Amino acid sequence: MTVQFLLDKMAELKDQEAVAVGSNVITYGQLLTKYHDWLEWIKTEKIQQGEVVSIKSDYSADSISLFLALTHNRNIIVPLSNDSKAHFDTFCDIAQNQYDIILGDGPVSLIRTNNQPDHELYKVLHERNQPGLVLFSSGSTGKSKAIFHDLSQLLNKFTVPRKMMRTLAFLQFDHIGGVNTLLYTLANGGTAVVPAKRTPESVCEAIDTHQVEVLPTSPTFINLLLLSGAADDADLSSLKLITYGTETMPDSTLAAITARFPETKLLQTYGLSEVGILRSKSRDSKSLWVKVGGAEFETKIIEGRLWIKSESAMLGYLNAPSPFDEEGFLDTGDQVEQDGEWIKILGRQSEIINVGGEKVYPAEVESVVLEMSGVEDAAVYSLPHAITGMIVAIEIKLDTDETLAEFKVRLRQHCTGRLQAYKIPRKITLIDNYTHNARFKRMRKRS
Amino acid sequence: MTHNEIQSLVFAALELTNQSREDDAQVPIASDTPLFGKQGHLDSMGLVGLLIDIEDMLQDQDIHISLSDERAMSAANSPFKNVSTLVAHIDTLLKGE
Repeated sequence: MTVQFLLDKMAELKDQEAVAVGSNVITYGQLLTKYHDWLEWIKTEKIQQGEVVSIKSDYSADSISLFLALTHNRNIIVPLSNDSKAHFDTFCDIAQNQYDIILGDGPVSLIRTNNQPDHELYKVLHERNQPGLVLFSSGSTGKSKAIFHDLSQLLNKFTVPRKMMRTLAFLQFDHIGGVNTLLYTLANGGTAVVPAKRTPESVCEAIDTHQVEVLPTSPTFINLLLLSGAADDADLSSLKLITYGTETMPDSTLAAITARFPETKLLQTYGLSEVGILRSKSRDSKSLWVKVGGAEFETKIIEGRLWIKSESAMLGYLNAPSPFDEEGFLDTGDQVEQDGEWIKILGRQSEIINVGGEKVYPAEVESVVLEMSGVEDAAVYSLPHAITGMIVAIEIKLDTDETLAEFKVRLRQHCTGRLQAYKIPRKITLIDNYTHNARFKRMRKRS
Repeated sequence: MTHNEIQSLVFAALELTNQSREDDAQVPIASDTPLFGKQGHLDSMGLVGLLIDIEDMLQDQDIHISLSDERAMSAANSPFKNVSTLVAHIDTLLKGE
């Protein structure tokens, strides 16, 4: 039984806090009760093993226990959090869900659809008699891909006991990072703390109230956290570890966060929806050099690009060809620098800007620009140009009253000496809003 | 825009460029200043920057043109040779709008 080890843990720690949403705290015992209620409900509603079920909900004790019950029932689960509300219809259409479960403040809503899923990969999973999970990529590099996992394989790696932690549930369960946080927490008897909102203020309040030890987040959110000053109004002394991933960390943001939280360890994580989250180790808190791997992972670097093979890799995409090579490795698309067993992630191959034959990584330029006073956010992109092929363009959110001309002069003066001339942004646009998406990943414009 | 207005605009863009250049690398504000190529004061990145500054300034007046289109790059006599050829180039583009 795939979730049995989680159930055993929950029964053993029944008085321990499992999930905290706002001021509402649920123990493992209560979560277990809810789990059994859902099993009964699934039986009553006659949801059969292997059927495709979407859950529209954010993290709550109900959605987490329902997720576990559907896993036990060997369903193919399509979690859909409000982060991707705009795409619900498209995602359901791709996944061919047979049931749509909507959880909110009121009673549960169950809708039976007329879909009759017959995807080849679904058949593979049915033959294995295992539960499945469909996640969608953010679509930052084109259309969203539907990533289909054998959920039992994702669960397997959590059977090895690790440290019990109180962790902020930053990403929802429709993101590989969110699934990872949830399963890690449940498998080790930790507490998942769900902030009321994903703002710096709300996250800091949740850390303070529930004595959170681990904050898994993104460089963009860390930047906002520092800018907002929210950390000054809350007691964050419980925080032992901040992990960051999903995008390249600018040097300037890492330097600022380690200076602000000298007692807190910083760890870079690395993972992809396709292969899961690798175990990682940063050389030290101030370093962008990282060692990635873990028992079930193999890595190789070809022409500076990182490839990964994983036992818990997805079965494939529902709406795209298989990306694996003959040996089962996946091209991550990430360019890396290598120093023995350490790697430094430079950025995505697809985002490299070629200026007159010279390569520019957006993250390096953003890092230098983010050092400037008054710059709240910066996102680099490329523009075609007749003279140099491509040029570096940048969108900037300022908290000053400078005109574009005034800011241009200041930016050029700041960048000269810090960046080679071809890396200095030539086209500058001032914008009013932050550039990140709902999951706090910087969204760079595409030309 | 008149010829003189275009020239003032190019001068203003050069002044902006000068603000972020070292004292010994100032571009003289004059109609015969060589810009790009032989004896030019700007390298390719400098030229790209100047052209974008001029485009931004034109945009403020609701004029949306690209100064570095294919025609500009293949013109036998480069429009980026000096300030007066650049002014003439912009004039042509504006008239052709």
